Amino acid sequence: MRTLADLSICFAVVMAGTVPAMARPRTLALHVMERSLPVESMRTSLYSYNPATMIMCDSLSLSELSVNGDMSRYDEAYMMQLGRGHTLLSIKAESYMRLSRNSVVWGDAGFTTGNNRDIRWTDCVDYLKLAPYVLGDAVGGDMSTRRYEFGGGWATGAGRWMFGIHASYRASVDYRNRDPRVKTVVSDLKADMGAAYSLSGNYSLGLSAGIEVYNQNCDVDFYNPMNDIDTYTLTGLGTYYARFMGNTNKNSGYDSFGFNLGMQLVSADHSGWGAAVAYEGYRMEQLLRNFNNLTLGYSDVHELSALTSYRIKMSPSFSIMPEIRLAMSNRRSTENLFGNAAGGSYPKIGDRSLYRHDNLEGSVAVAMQIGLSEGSVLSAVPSVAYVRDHERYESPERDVDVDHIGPVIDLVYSKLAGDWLWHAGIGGSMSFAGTKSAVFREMDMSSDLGKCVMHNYRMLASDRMSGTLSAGASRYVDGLLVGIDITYYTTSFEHHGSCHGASATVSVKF
Amino acid sequence: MKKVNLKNWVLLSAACTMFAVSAVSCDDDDSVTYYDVTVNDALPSLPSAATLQSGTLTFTELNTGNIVTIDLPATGQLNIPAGTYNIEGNMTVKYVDNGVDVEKTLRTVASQVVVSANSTLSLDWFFYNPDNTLVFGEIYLAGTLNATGKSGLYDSYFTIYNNTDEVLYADGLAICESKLLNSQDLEITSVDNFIANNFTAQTVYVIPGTGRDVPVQPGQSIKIVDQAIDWNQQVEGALNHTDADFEWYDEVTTGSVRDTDNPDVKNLDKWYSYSKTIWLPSQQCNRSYALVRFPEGMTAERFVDEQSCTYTWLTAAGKEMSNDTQKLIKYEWIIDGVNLCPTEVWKRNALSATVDMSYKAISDKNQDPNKFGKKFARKVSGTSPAGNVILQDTDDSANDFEVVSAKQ
Repeated sequence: MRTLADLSICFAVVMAGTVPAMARPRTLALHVMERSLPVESMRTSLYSYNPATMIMCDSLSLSELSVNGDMSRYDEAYMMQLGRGHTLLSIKAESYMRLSRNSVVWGDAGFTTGNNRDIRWTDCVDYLKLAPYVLGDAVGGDMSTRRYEFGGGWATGAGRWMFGIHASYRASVDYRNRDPRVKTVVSDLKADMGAAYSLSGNYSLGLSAGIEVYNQNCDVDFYNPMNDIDTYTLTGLGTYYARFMGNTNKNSGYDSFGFNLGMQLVSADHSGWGAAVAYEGYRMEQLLRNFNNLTLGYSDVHELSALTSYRIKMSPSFSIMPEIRLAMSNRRSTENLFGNAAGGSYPKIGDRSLYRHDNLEGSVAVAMQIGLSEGSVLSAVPSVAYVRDHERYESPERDVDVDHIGPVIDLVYSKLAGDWLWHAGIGGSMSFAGTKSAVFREMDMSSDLGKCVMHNYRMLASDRMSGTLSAGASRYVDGLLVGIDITYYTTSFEHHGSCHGASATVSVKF
Repeated sequence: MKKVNLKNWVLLSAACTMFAVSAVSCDDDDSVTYYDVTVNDALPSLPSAATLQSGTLTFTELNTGNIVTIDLPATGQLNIPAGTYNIEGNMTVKYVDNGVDVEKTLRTVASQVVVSANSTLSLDWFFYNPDNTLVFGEIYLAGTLNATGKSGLYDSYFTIYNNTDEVLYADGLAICESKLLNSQDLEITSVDNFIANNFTAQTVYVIPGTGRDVPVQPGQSIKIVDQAIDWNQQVEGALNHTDADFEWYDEVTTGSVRDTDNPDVKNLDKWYSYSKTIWLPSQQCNRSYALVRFPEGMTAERFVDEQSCTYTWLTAAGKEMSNDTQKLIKYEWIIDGVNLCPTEVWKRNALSATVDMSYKAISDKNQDPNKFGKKFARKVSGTSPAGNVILQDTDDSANDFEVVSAKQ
């Protein structure tokens, strides 16, 4: 896997290196600045929904090598399964290269290492993708991680048609070197293809489709032969398979096949209307390797997202872009029931679909971009965001229904002065929680598992306030735009402490 | 430059969104399937018609741990969710015996009953009257993981605990291991060996004495080990049995296998063993064990002579097999008994439900390496008026015992 990642990074670096070094200090700096402004970056992200529309994503070739360090610390975990922060170091190479007027390639490769702190009640990774069927225990601990990612795509145009393909692969190994010892291996392959048709005028209508093949193998081990840490096979909101808890089951495998469909409306010049609708569905099966690959249960997940925006240039130095986003997801999980074991095999005698998790997110934003003077731009993105999270288990009845609403504001000042490109930003948000339902029938609140459920609920139902400070500088040096970006972020949870984090990135763009 | 027809785009987007929303929000209501279960109660023979005073039936679903409790008398069919159940019941009945009103407690138990269709369930009820006397306090059979890390040492032991407030004597008590594996359900054809009729034992080791030589103080126990040595000398972290009260020693003079005898620790009297060499209790923890008080006047010779039997059974192919390496133990002689078996491979109990209505598992999975170093320890149920610890003894080993580290 290491070799694979190294090769992929080399691929991205070589690909980036094939871009002709252009003597374009101010052009490159201006381009980078424009791309990083909220209005442009919000619009540009739309083109990545469909490999075919990537041909319109950028007019110039741009490559980047970056090294990022990110550290965060939580007083209390937002979710125990997500831990109390992380310390991660990553290196990434990415490139977007225009081969001709009608053909582009792009690719990226990255490696991340570090650790995630104090994760409990899951020994598996990608918790939000697997939940609620994970192995977990009350002790948990820090998890070291090594993650390798790479991907690449190609898009071409023929007449009014555009076609594109993209594939990406992620592999990761997460482990813990003390009891409960964990070794979790993830393999995640995605492949997408798309087509777009240039409508009369500035707009193109795109259709995309893709698949995802996901596997995870999670092994738990105890070196202490007197181990008395129970491993739970969790089924959501503090429930678990009583039959497979204790110290018997120490392995959980996951197999998933998913697909996605999307439709987009984009403009060739990044102005006017932009819209996208995307659907993704997958079934995540949980297998117990120790029990003859017994399929313990599965989750059917449906995710739908939509966004639409309209970019208006009010004057040469002032443009705005209102944007509406909507995302909803539904997760319904089914537990299989088994009869008496025969020869180590458990016959399935029925199933129960008791767990359901619905999520709704929506936001309305108005991104504004104001040119203050030659080479200096102020961007502001005020928005209002709404999130509803509804998780429930039918019997015994558990029901957590919490929503959040609140304002968000982000301000960025960017300045191009000589060979230097500066930017500074500040952002903040408030989120007010409302609990529609909180039912925990038959839950032992004094147990570790009960405490975990209540902790997660209290964090979810707390009002929170977040802030971000960022600054960065780039300078053109020998055909390269060398930069550093620093971000500090914090979130305060009412009555539940706060989170502080900082991120620093050193990059070279060319 | 022509503009896109936004009306068409909006309509198309709306159609796609509606389709996807309907997919996202699709729902069905068959989350739990229920089945009708008809219960047939078989009561023990009573001198007169019995009147039910009160009672409950408890269904514990093994997959989910969900518990359904039904008050008795249950009328009509029970509506039970699909699953695999352990069933326990108790009822108080009143009847007339020789003109006197008698009130008795009955219990029933059934293990791993699968409910996956409308079905009929037969429950055999039996009298339940647990006595708190001398009981198994701890049973350690899996052993400490040996130096190779693959199997267990033979540092196994039993403790016998005085669960009363008066001094009791342990001499004359026998520790017996079942012939039958609880992980097998061979069809027994010899009537004496039917589980309901006798306990079929393959070993009988007796604490020596005349009946008042081995006092066990209230709230105290005696320790009986395989080899009374310090196993720490072999594997660090193993148990030290040099403080044992008794050990079972098998004198072997032929072959290469030899037992170890600590001359400072008394040996049990070996009344009977199927083994021609040494007895090693089941490290798989899949047999049953009984604590037996023989009737007055019983001797080893008389026991072997009177309690011999030929055990016959049918193989899966229908062929009858036989074996003579076991003895019959009458249930009325048994003062305590425990069924043991890993959950995954449990088939039935070698001890009748009148002695132990359930079984205790060292682990869910068979051959689980985590069993090493763990013992069965009886739970504490309270303190007697005299201040002695009372261990839980409800003749229900699944509830009476817990599996804990042997070092506790």
